[in-house]
Amino acid sequence: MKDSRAKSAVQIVLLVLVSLVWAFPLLWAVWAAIRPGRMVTSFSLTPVFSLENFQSVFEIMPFFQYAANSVLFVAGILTVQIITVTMAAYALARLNFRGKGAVIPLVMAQNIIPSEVLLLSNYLTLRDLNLLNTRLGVMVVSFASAMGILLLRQSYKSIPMALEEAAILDGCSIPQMLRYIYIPSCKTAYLSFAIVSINFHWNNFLWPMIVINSPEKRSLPLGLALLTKSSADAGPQWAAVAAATLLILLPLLVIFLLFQKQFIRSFVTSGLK
Amino acid sequence: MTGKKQKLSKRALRQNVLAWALLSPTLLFVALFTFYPFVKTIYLSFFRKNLTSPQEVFIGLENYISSFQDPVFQKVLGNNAKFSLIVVPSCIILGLGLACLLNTRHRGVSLARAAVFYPNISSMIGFSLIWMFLLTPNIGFVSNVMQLFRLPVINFLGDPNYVLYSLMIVYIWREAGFVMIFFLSGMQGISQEYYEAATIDGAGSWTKFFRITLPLLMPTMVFVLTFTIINSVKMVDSIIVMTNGGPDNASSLLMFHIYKTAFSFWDQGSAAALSVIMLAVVLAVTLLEYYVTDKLTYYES
Repeated sequence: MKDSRAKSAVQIVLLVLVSLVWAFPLLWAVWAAIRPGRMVTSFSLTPVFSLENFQSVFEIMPFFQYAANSVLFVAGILTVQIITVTMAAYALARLNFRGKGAVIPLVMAQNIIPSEVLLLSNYLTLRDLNLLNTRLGVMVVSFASAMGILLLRQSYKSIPMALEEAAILDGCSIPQMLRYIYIPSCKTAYLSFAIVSINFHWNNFLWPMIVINSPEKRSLPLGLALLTKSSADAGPQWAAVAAATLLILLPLLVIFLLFQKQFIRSFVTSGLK
Repeated sequence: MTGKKQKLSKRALRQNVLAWALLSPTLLFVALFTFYPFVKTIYLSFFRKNLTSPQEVFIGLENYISSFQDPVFQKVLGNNAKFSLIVVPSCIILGLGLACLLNTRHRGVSLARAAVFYPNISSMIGFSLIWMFLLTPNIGFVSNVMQLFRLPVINFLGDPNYVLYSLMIVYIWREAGFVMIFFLSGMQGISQEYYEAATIDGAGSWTKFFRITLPLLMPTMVFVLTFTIINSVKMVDSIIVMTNGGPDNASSLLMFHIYKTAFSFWDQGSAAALSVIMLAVVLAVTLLEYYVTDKLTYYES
């Protein structure tokens, strides 16, 4: 008994230590963000607080413009993905057709070939389609999702066939059936997919950076990265960077803390981040 | 009789048309942004196409040969090998350790889990900048702490001897929490009966871990190993923000080198050849995963 209590104490100490080490950059960012900007480089614990860093975020970069672009990218991609994924998942879960055996590995190839490898060629395709430096260009490469199809096909298959047959007898069309039976019954799978997609595209950097040239079309991570490069002469405003990082993290952190279990399960089932 | 047969085949035809119609948007996008660029990358890798030679000229394997002869690429390969060899086992061991630690019902465990996982929902750009500041000599926190202990000032990101290790720390800080959630979910899937039986037999915690937990986590292990290896060659965001590959290419890894070749030097032929090399690495790791998973399920049944 004594032994297990000692073990438990060690475990708690370790848990606290590990949490503090991992959370350190976040804690530092919070600390730096809520203190006057000039104090960021001094090693002091004087309790002086100020919100000026958040103010300067809005002054040194068009934060809301970038945020609007980011929201557009995330929402645009997710909306189209849900449509393409729902259609494809239904066909692969419920319909018999010629070439089905070939379609599944074809779609899965998207999961296996990393998009990073295709960076240059996709850039050239976008140039040929006249989509460089457009918001559509940022989004269009992500409109299909093999991961989403896999996830939904699995959960569509668990819906009893009898339900669909009854709906057909009642004269339900396929769009109606998807709308009233399939989508509501697979809410968890849709939520999982949405979480992974939103997280990825909210924080995505490399592709938007390559596609976008005009400042007014930048997403938040892009704006943040270029902010520090442009102000090289004055030196980056570290406290403002910390404040901006927190603002970018905030929406996802709120969702994460509200749905922690669901959130983590989404990543585990999709195997992606 | 014939009427029924005709009706059936009509139904089959309708199903075929419907299925392909439903699949067409997905197939269109996959064809345009996965298959076409896949073929195009391989095709381009056999041509010279760069700023001095904007017209495609077929040169066979020359892009591959000159890449492997390029001392910068050799250095990049060495860097990435070193990076992966340190980062992958570190993430696995830390992820496993964290999962063990978090696999309890203590109060506050969900807070600890959030503390370890949050890097994966954060902008890597923002936190790379924060790490950059923490590691800045003289004014950064790490430097301040080291000065407190009268240790010499180290330019973590400016010294070629330290820069790769500094990036490893940032990478592990992010990835270990991601690895952790897979092991945690694997552990929660193991039946308590095994542990109860082992307790009756007088097995200690370590025995239980090595005889029950670890063997039963093997499928998870294979999966995690695969994606950590692949992610360790895809690492690029933090490099762009923190070091730009420098100093003297000391922190340039495979994906960053491809990005530079394609979008700074505009050497499309070489960038395509490098992409094919990277794809070969990724596919080799993926195939190995399928092979091992196959073996594992064979032994299990």
